[in-house]
Amino acid sequence: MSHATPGLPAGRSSAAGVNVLLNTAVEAFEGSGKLEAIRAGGKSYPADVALVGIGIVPNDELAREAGLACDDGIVVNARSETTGDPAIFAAGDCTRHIGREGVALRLECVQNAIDQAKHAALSMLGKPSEYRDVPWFWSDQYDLKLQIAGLARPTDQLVVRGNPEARKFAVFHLRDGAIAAVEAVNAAPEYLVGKKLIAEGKKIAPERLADTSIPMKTIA
Amino acid sequence: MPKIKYIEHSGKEHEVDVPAGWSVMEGAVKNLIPGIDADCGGACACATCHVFVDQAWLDKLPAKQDMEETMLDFAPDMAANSRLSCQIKVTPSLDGLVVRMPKSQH
Repeated sequence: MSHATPGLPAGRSSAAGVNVLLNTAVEAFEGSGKLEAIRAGGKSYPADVALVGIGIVPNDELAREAGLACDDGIVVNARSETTGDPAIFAAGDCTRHIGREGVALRLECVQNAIDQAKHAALSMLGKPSEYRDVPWFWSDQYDLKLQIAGLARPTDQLVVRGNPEARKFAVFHLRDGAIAAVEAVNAAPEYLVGKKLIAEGKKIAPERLADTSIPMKTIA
Repeated sequence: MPKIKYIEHSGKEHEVDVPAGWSVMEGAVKNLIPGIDADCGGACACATCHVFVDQAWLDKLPAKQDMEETMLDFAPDMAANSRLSCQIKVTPSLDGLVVRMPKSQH
């Protein structure tokens, strides 16, 4: 989550009895014959199971051998066409594509896998259409429903709508006045309308966005 | 096994057996029935598994939770018998359920 909401959802985890260690590196898995503890930050934490989430490296060996351009992922254009063979298309986490903001990126998310695949299929059918969908993400953590649309940047102007204390709010990221991303916590209308406004490149005054007396349905 | 009838917006009908415990959404997606996208996989996070429940079955379904209500409020062509099919768990008592798909989920 953005720095407008420090400690959340990590704070929610600790309230639920889950110890979240930020800015701490794992130093070792400990145990004889089986995992017994994880050493991190100089301390040893008892553990039966370790779930390792460290990002992915795309398996693009096959694509390289086939002569396709690769650069931390199989390079494709907005129509999911590869560079090197007009009969080969690629979609999903393994691709480096041109995003809707015109910047090449590799996106690891379900939305990208679904939407990029649709564009690959359209290209194969000879009905190409440019992939410009707004990326979106979700997670359910305890009683927090996180819904995020768009890709935030550190330089975005942040507007908070709602009350973080009440765990029902959204953080809008404005770029040149237009909504570039929204992070919603238990705030589906903010997420749903926000996603639409991102796609439309709508500009909305920060004071208006922050005013919860104006329903999201009529915010634009 | 409960039978569920899914009717596409075009009128094309699909009657399939759906195991109890699955959601109505899963019954469609796992049987490759078009018209229910379920982009979020069933987390009540996207509102792309919208269906219209046959009037005869409306009262027999579990009530909507707040989140489903809110998500539906923004679904295209929302109506009084709208539901998110990922939020309806199939039980033996839903044998014969009929749902219709909207024109589009987006």
